[in-house]
Amino acid sequence: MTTADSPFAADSSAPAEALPAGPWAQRWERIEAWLDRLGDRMNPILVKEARQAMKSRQFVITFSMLLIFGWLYTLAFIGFSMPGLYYAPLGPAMLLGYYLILTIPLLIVVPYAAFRSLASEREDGTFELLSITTLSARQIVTGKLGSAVLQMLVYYSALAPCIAFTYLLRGIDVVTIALFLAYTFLASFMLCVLGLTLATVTRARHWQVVLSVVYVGALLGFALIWDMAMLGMLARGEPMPYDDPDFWVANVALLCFYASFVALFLLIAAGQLTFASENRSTKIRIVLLVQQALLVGWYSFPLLESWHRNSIFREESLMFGYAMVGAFWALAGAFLTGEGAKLSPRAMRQLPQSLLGRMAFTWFNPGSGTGYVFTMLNLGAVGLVLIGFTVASDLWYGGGLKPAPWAMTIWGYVAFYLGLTRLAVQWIRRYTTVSLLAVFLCHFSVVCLAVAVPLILQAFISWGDMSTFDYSVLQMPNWSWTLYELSDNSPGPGAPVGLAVFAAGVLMFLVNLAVASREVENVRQATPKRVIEDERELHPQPEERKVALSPWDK
Amino acid sequence: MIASHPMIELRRLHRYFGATRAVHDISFHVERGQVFGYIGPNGAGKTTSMRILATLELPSFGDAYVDGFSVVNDPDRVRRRLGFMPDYFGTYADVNCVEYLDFFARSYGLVGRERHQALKHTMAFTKLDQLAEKPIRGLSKGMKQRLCLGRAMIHDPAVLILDEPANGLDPRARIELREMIGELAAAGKAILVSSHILTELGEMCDRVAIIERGRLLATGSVEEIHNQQTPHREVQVRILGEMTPATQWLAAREDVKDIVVEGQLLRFSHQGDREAEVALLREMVLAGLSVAEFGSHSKSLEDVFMAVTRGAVQ
Repeated sequence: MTTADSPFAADSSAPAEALPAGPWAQRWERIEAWLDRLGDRMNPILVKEARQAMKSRQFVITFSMLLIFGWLYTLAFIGFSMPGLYYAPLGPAMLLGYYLILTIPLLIVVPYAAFRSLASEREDGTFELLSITTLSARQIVTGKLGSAVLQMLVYYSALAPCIAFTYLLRGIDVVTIALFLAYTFLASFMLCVLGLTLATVTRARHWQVVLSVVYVGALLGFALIWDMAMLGMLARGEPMPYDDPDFWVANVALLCFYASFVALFLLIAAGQLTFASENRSTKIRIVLLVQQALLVGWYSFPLLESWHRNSIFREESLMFGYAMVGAFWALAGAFLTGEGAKLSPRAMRQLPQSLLGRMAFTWFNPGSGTGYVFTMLNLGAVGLVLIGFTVASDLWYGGGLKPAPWAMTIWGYVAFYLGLTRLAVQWIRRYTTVSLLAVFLCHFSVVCLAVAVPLILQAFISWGDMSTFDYSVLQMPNWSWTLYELSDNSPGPGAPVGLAVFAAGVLMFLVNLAVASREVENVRQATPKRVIEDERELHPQPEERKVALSPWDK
Repeated sequence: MIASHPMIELRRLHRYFGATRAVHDISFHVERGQVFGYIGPNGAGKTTSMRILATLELPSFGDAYVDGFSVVNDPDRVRRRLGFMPDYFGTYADVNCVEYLDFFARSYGLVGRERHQALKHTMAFTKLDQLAEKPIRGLSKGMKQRLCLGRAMIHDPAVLILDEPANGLDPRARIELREMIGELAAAGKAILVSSHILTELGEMCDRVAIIERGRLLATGSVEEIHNQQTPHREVQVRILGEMTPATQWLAAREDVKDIVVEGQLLRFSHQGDREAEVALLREMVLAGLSVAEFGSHSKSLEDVFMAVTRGAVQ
């Protein structure tokens, strides 16, 4: 990379700078050199953001206010609680105030600063300068997130002595304090992740302003609800069920989902910032698959437990679970089917080559058709598990087969509406470009129209006579009413309509599968010679060890 | 090893924004150590093609290569070899000059001694060492421009793309910038530079490309383009003594037209290049004409630009 006569070529002949004579100065030099090396290993965005944030007016004001309010509250609380402070357990009451003071920077200021930090890079044009460096989009997003975490830790540290003081006042245990702080940290972290994702949605300044207002409103609303819930728990004074293993199982389950959503949103944010010819989809699909596995895994836990205890599970819980999975994949599918059908040559360099690899991993490749098939296969796989579980349970306990047609109907609806809109979008894309967001809005409109149009038609038919306003075959496109009928198990055409929906879904899936065949036909492209040469230069392979072919070869 | 490929190459590059053809079928190349001027009126497509080269935009059709790597398929490899100075500053608040350059050095993966060395050289090269600790918001336009050049070259790229680097600079700063660009080219870097100040470009560029309404109108050295556009050169000759024989002698030649006599001066247009002019002078002397002065008017980049472009906008 370096040009021949470059002044940048490392000057090895230059004498090293003489160290200062004093032992303390030498130690300090060594520490500084160590810190410098540590800084080299850190994300450059984090280093820059930390430098900037600590100098910024926003940080200075927030930190000062936090300290001032913390001290004022301490003095006021002690003043008003005297002399009860000596004998009454006032820890929870005092923690209430500190918690409230802490959540304002954690749940509002830091997430908004993270949002603005990325949004302003895009508004001011500095993002373009960043994007042409060797930093990856993931590094940019995680660097911003790291800076937000650093600020959070600074704010925590400011009130840490005060919070420790509440424990000394008795009435509250260390685990409760730790859990409250941890939950708040996780909430703040997730809000930062969402803020960063939101900042990547649009580049247009006017939309950034709209998003900014919406995000601030959402943060205020969330902070209010969160504080009310957490302060309510604190004020009740009841200890958390630490002795109950289910409490910790639920915490671990929630943490798993939390981590998966953090990963998903970070990948979405990084994908939005990544250069268009990169593969931005495969990693997101992997996370979606992991989320599905987590959902099935954690949902199976109570079901298997009930089976183990020989108690019949509630089929409604299975149906609710599948409805959640259906909604999850419908939402994911609405985005995945919006991807372009053409793979960039760069993405094609990494396509699987073997038959097995192509069969299993082709659906992870970017593309509208692969996205549709990926969505439906995943939803179908969970449906099959559910049907298997239902049938087995029916055989053992006679639990009923109600969840099976329910699952088939949901699959049918998702397959039909996603497939229909996908085909329509593919047709429109022959004439004009359709963005990912526009495709999502198309899906959303179709799903809404599917409910509204049959209802309006039925209203016209039964004009003036509401007694005839019952579920009928006309409502077949209306997924909402049909599913309600199926769940209610009421007599009527609900069950046959469900089967018809499933059949229509299968048909639509087959049509889309045929249309998506072009995306499946993509094969791996050879890496250009120049890239291979560069790769060898960047990562030179160690010389092959010479194998001695005779006693004289050494 | 000397690369066999050009350092910058545009191959049938197209970029459309709806019905607007911002860049339409543009091809040219820049070799190592060359300063290549990219000129055209506002909205001609210069910035768009530079942004494509800088991996900020994708072409609608065609491709561009930096050191043999496609900007579409290998943007990461292109970025390691490329320094881009856009027509805006792109600076951060609450950051001083050295922190700004240090951040970009880290962003380009420079660590330890290499980073310190790069910072030291860049600060010295751009003459910003005295202002290292000064906040960016307090810098003058010329200093900010230097800082931006420093940012573009901090990772010692083999290719530099400079979009209007002299825009808004005072004459002194412009001359200093021109000198810096010359030094960088002498160090072996391929430089693509756009500017509205054509006299500046004319002096520093080895070759130029003229673009209008997204189309490439001409490419080559100023001389070559001029010859392509106008094969005639304006020649002025001062004759001592009688003018009639000289006028008659010239009028008899096929390569001479539009003879104008102004006292002892003869003006005419001559078809041919510099060598043909030398031959003409030799023949005039051999024919016994008393030639006291012989000169031809060399067209500047501005003349060439005006001759090539039509001032059309889209």
